[in-house]
Amino acid sequence: MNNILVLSLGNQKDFIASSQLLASLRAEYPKAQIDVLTSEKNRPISEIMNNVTQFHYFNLDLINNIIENPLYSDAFALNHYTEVLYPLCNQSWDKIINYSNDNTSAYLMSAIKANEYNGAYINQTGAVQTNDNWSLYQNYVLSKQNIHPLDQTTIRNHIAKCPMINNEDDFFKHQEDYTTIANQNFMKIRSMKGSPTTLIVGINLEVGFDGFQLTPDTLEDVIEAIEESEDFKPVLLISGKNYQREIINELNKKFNNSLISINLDMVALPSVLGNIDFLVSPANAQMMIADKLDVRTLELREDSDKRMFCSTFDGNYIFNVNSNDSLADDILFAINEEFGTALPVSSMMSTNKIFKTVSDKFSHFFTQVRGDINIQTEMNYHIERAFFLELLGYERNTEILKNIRNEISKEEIENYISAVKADMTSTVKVLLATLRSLKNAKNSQSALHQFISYLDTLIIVGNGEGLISSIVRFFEGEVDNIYCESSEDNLKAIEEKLFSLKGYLQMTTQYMELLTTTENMATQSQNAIEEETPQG
Amino acid sequence: MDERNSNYELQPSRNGLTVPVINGIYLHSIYNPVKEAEAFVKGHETTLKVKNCVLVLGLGFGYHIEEIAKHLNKNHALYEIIILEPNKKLVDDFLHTRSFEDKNIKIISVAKTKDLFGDWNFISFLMKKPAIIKHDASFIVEKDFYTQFLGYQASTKILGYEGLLTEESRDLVGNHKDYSVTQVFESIKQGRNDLTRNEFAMLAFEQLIQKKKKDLIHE
Repeated sequence: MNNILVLSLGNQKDFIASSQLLASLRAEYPKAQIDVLTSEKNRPISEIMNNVTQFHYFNLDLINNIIENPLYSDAFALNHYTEVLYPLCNQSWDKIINYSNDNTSAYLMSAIKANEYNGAYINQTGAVQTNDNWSLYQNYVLSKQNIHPLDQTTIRNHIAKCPMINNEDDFFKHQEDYTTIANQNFMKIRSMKGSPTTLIVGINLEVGFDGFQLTPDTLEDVIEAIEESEDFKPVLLISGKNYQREIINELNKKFNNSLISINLDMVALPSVLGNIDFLVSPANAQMMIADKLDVRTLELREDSDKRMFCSTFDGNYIFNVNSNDSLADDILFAINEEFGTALPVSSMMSTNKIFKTVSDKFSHFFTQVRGDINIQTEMNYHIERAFFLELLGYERNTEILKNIRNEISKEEIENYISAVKADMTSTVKVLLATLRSLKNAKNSQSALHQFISYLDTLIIVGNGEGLISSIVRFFEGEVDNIYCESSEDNLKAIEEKLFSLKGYLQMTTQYMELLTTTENMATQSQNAIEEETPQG
Repeated sequence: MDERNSNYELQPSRNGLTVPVINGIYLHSIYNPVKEAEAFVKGHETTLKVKNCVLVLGLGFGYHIEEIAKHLNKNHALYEIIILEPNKKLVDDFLHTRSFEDKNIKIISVAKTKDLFGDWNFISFLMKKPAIIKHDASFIVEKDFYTQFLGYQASTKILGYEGLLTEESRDLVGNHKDYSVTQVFESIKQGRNDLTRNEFAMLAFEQLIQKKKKDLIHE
């Protein structure tokens, strides 16, 4: 592999997440040219990113200013576009990866020559095509979920056909001179508490991707508790914005100008973060980079039904904040839990949902450790994760099924199984009707309409929530991906996919059995659907 | 002598400074051009505090420009002034007689407004959203030019700006020269059959434009 092009036109969150893939690609292909096409907004972060031979930037603001303004000739927008794109089009790439999975990149996949294409692209009919099951899963299942059982970073590494590596030193550049200065300065900060082993708690005042910001009261309570302890020293992290300066001024009034704040320059960021023992931060770029550098972080977010967290490092915290009243206590509690300290916590009566990042041999995932837990949602999260990992080629995660069997009440498990079985029964009915109508559709036009109608009904099941809906969405992706010249071949291909769906549903039956019985017993009882299915 | 300067002369003011007179119009006060410039700029003080880029319509003999520069220098670490003056003779006389010491000031003199909008450096300057300050006497003398400048609209058809396209951009748009960029997108989509790599690249360009719009909605 001589040269690889990664299309990374997504937002900051996506772009930082791509550092994982870039490090993996570099480990797999140490001598390859690895170029990244991104947007101008990601330039500051790109400057600290490792493993890339060259970045290419589209300036979206520039293009849009020109296109939108009748004063300016569109020629300048086209010239900028071709100036960036043509050098990429004039190379023949060994591998091109659609990392950001956006429309622009999908079209560019078809515009740029390469030997191997990884990820979604647009075909001649204008439809999105995916070239493997991971990409299909990303586009049809994950994109419609509020809670992602499989994390996107893992999925994207698989799409790029590149095994994950977890060497955090490789992700971002540490400038030696900045690191020396940062180390010296933090040594001084630690010694302010009389001990070189004082732990540094970084508190990031930058607002989160979702708009979350720490309130002045929470900041004051957390800082006061940390400042008064013997074990910790707080450091406020800012990025020079006016609202942050105002907060610092207010806080300094209350703490007699004793607070330490650091203006985070992007180039120096990895060096500074390397000295932070615990970072409290809204989910934003700095927090993500800290997490990638294996800093213990506490990711703060507005409470939401969505579970698309930024943290990836094993053991890191995520707070879905629905009440600021107890947030300071929750933060202090997490710090105590992490370091075995005794910062004062006045109340444990919190409604905030607290999660932790956990890694197993498959990938990382999130587990809720505090706050109201919806057992059914949690069970579905873990079962769906295990199910799709198996469907996508991993071995069966019997451990998680065993844990559910042992840790969750029989009643909850039965409720879950009966809900899945109800979904499955209605889906199987439509599936069988679709398969029967397909047989007739091969011979008659009117039967073809009936078949299409059944197929539509089947696909509508995917609009729901839960395991069966996710499976049907995966099937929908498989059907959308069929691209045959003749209608006969199309029907044949759809028939194959209908039988695949049948197989997935059989696998679901096994999973449901495994939730109540051992594996051997489950295998014996999986053939109920098989007997009813017409043979293709 | 061109028509624009058929009635052109430079007269000394009462305090000895040069004042151009074109078609009977004095471009500055014949008594005290500097004092007049101070009063003129006072009326723009608020703008000059906020903006560090200024486009001045009319050079005159530069007194008002020097005053604007003073204000900008006081309020901003970096600033830029571009003067738009179509009268080349006036510019030449000014440069021979006085000129500007301040390197942040640049004079642009073109006869046609279209030439201005074909200059990428000038477009880049406009994209900084400069304050536009009109020198009234100059504006009266060159009313047609400045009115045309302020009402300018770029050609939307590729044919109208073909000369500005780089070789690569010409290659990208192919034989759609009678179309606007938006029409090219539609034409490619309607005729979708065996699309070329360039056509895919053109559709990617369309998505790039829409992507920004989506981002704005998201923000």
